[in-house]
Amino acid sequence: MKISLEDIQSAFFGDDVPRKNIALRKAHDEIQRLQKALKDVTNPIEYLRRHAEADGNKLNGMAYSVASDLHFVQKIARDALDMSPPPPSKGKAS
Amino acid sequence: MNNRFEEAERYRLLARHYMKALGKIAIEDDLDAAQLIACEALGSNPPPQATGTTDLIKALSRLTGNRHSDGVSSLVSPEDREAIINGCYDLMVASRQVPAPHVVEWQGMASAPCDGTHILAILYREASDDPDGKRWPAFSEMREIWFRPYRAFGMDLPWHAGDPFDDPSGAGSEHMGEGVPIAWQVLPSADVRALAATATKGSDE
Repeated sequence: MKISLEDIQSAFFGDDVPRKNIALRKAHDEIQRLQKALKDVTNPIEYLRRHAEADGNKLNGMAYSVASDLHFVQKIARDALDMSPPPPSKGKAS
Repeated sequence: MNNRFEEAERYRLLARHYMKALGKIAIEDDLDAAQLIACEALGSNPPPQATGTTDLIKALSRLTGNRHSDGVSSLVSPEDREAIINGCYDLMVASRQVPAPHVVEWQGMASAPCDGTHILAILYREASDDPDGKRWPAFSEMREIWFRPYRAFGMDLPWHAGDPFDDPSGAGSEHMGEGVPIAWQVLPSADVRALAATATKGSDE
């Protein structure tokens, strides 16, 4: 679950202790999520393997080409940031 | 309450550090460069020392020129400015020396032992203003810490950076924990103890 870091900070302006604890837990989860995305960028094959195994599948020969694709790595980063993909390049002929 | 606030601030800084790296990766045009950005963000593959020093000097120089939104008053006090300029000069001189033979292998904090083992870590703190209006400049330091679960005040967090002088209960101390640990390496205990023994011997004579 993606959370706003400002929300976490705002939890500390009041006296609501449970809210602060929840905010800290959420912040920790957010760190783990971002860190995992960075690790996936450094090792896209592992990312593919994890997803394949979660679906009960195994990697095939295509995995290396997918993992070596810049757009795939960019997508991992964009997904982690919840960003939309950039608009398609207008200069390229279809 | 203060400890938890600081803990939250640490998380925020670390998240921001990671998000910046992911943002760069999302628009990077080269796969190798994108992966290098991720490695650097995780602290696992720092650039060569000379390059890092040059970049640091440039960044510090830019910092001294930063202004508040009014465009007039400087973000950096005259004292800090002087300290930064002097530090840059020292760094520049040091970077031209023969590099130290010891290669530092920094790793991301994800791989740091969480069992209370003492490690050497880089702690980073962003510039901030506290509720009393006091300005704390950005600062990074390398120091011996431990890295273990934080269970004080009813909390149950998987990690917390303290230092070897902290209360063994894990409650933390006032003087520590302001920086976010962003990279670590095995503490060269044997070397440190040998150096300490030599220094003690020297001072005794």
